[in-house]
Amino acid sequence: MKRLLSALKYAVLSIYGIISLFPFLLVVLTALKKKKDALSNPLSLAFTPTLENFLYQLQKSEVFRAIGHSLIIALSATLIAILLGIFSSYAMSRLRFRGKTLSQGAILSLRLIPPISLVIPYFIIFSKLGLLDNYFSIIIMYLTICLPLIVWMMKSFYDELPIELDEAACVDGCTRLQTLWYVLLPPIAPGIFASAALTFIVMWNEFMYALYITGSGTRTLPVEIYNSIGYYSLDWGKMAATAVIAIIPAILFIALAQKYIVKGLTMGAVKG
Amino acid sequence: MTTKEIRSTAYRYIMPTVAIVIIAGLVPILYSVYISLFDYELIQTQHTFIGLSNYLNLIADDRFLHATVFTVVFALVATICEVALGFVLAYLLYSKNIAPTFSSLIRVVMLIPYMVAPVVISFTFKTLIYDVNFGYLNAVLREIGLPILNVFSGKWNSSIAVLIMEIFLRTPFTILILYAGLTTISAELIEASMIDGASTWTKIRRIILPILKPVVFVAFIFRFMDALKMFDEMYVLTRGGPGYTTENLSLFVASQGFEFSHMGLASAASVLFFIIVAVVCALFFRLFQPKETKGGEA
Repeated sequence: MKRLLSALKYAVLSIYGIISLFPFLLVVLTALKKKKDALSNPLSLAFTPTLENFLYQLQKSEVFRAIGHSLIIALSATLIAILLGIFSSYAMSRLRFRGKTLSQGAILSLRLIPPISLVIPYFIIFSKLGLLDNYFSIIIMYLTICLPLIVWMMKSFYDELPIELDEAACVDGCTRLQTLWYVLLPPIAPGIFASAALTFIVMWNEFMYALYITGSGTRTLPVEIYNSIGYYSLDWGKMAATAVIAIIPAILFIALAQKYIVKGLTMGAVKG
Repeated sequence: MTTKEIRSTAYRYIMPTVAIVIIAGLVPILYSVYISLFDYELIQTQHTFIGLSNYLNLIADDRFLHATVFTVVFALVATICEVALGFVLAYLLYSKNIAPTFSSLIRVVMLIPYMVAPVVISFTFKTLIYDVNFGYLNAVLREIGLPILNVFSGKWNSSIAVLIMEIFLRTPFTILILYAGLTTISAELIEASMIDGASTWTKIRRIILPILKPVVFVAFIFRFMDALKMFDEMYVLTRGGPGYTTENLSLFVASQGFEFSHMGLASAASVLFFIIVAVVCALFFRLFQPKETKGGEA
């Protein structure tokens, strides 16, 4: 009975694992197939793998440029948010000041705003200022997603450091900035890298803002993938190849930083 | 260091962030409220002030009401499924007769659907799985002799298709959080209950769930908030169709604003959307927030 139960548990979990991998496998298989093979039977393994889809897509300037745009936008938004986060989370974790609850609430409230409620006014403002299809505008919009994520994650990292660390540094004559830089940041550096990676992935995957605010000069990869659905109609291999390229950062991230994911996703509300 | 100095440092440290939050978050929302009072068509240069007409038109609009109900019901159903399924799977992953290496392997594998761009997953489902002629779903149905299923037609098909994909996509999130919660329960407590002869069911209901309540709440509220605001999956998979059966508030606002260029109406709808999200979430906090987390940080 007990053995049966544990076998059942293994079976359920294995099935779940296979289901999780299934769409991913489909995409990779399709990307490696020629058009004829891809349409006849998606799962069939009887085919000669080809890299032509990848080569074709990477030679196409739109896809290549979309990867570049995605990198520039996601990296800048993440770096700016980290830089701001280092200081503001420190203030929120260590200092007492008037308006603290208010500013924390303001940062948190960004998460409550439906993204589409920001897209409409931003679209009007940016089209009036002639800033549609501009790196600046999409990065500003992405900061509204990055900042709450980073600030709350980093605050939870600071909160975990004992206050005695600050006091000892203070006694040794460190200034506040020196304490922050030499004493507090080194132990939480891995956490900061993980937060940065998580934020980067979220930005890399973002679709709605990019769909409406970017244009041909700043179009990101998810939008390029979406646009290509109609464009290639049934040449799924090519679309799948782009999709595989879009997946790579996420896979790298899972491999490198998975133990920080829980904290990141709940902005420190649950410890992983 | 004096209080005054601390305060000035604090303001210097936090000001840039707060300034960006206000400029990038608050100002557009206020501007949106302003726009919503006008008959604002994207293609026209003159916009007439019409007071609350946009709001009144929306409340009388079947399509808007449908989108509102659909948004809340869909988010609720999806969240309940995800939390329930997430608990079952997290409990299995946590259970003692599963080898730790296997458990952590599954927890890594399941992250793939969660971290991959929703657009990519939606595209995969739309073409490789749900497509009427070439999708894998119908390939299987054909193989076992069942009639072909067109996921993108009919009243319920599309909603269920999106729901299944959404559960596939988001359950890893609830599993992760609930699993993290489960690992904090002390082993002695569980052992004690086993010695007292508690059945598995009693153990879950009387010991694990009460302790886990705050974590379940966090999983639920985070997931629910995001499910209300869901856009990518529906936009790629059904684009609100057939008709507007799978149109949620995000898609409604987007189509009013960008397809029909009724920016005034779209702004009004997006303001109402914001209010609906805030009210529904506040309601959940009121009704279900466990006492332990009340007044706590975050």
